[in-house]
Amino acid sequence: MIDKKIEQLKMLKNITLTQEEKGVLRASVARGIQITRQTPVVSIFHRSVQHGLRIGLSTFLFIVFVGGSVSVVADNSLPGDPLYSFKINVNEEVKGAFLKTTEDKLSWQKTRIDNRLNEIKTLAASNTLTKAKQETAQRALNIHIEAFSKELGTLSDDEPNKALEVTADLEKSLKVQKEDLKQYISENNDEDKENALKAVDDTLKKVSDQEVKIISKEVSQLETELSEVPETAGSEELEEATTPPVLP
Amino acid sequence: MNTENENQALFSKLFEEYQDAIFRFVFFRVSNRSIALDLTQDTFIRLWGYLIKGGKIDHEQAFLYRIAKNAVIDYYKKSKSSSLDSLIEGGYEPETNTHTDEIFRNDDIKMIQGLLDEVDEESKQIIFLRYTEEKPIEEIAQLYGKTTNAMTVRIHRIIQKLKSRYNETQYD
Repeated sequence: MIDKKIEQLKMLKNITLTQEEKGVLRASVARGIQITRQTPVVSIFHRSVQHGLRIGLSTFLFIVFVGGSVSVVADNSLPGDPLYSFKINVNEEVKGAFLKTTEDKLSWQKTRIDNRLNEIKTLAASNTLTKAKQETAQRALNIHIEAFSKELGTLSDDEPNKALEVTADLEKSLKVQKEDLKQYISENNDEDKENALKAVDDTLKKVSDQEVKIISKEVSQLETELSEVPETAGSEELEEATTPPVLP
Repeated sequence: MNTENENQALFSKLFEEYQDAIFRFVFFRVSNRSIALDLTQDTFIRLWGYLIKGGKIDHEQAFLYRIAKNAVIDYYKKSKSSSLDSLIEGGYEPETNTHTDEIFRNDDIKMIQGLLDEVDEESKQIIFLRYTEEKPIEEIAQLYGKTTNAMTVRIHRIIQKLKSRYNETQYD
């Protein structure tokens, strides 16, 4: 009798993770591994372990975003969709967490900014852009701009010219986005779409502010360098140049 | 020592193959989806930690269950002072899943779970592996570091114990 009842335990095999849980599990394992990776290890093997993890995590990331069907579905979601938050806060955050160089991080934030604007455009084109959806995309956009500015600050310390190139590139792409959006607005003009256009303008302004900040920083650094040069510097060369050569 | 590529491939394979089984294994013990999900995550992070330190795995499945088993033990050690009841009192709301709830509403499952509550932790895990996961006795023996014969006897004894407890409840 009991044997037959114990056989019923087979039913427990039907307990499986839901697709959403699988997505969450993948993302949280990736994050957990990332934390392990950041833990300082005082060892001569430190460097190689870091390297191994980087490759391992890239592969794992591949699984996270290619293998996870929730992730895939979420990737196509738009503001207002149930999985949109998953896309922004899990898929994209995890993807970004594995980038190492400042350039890669900047490029990733630029992609995210473009993605948000494309989402606004898609919604505007299908006449489904509501105030709430626009605000959702705007909130994400602000976070990306903030992250972009932070990385830009790091890059401008070491390579100001590269930082200016990156901002110019983003500015150019934002202007294209703005023109695209204008088209939709002229066809179907309403307040929400005007707000969408304002979102691009705000983003553009923030990028320009960053540009100004980098240039100001460069100028002030140049001024500091100049002020440190002694006033007599170069006088020897001047004297040499003005003294007539001694003939043999 | 495994190469980096081998580690990645092995980790991905084990993660894909065993995430559900490990989840079930820990869920059977903690009866809470959120906690089971956390412990499943913990299991795979521990696995990765072992692999990158150059650890070698002879029997993958047994090794994973062993990590999961330890994760459950650690969880119980940590949560001794904060039982689920106290967590719920503090505002924690365990997640529910209709399909899982349905399974646990089955009278036989409820009865077996009740009986299993009266045996030790290791016995519960052995019964789960044998009757839910339908693992061969050789594999379970390997997991617990016993010979196949010893594990056969152990399973027989657990069943006898459950049987006698069941008979007692029938007469109660």
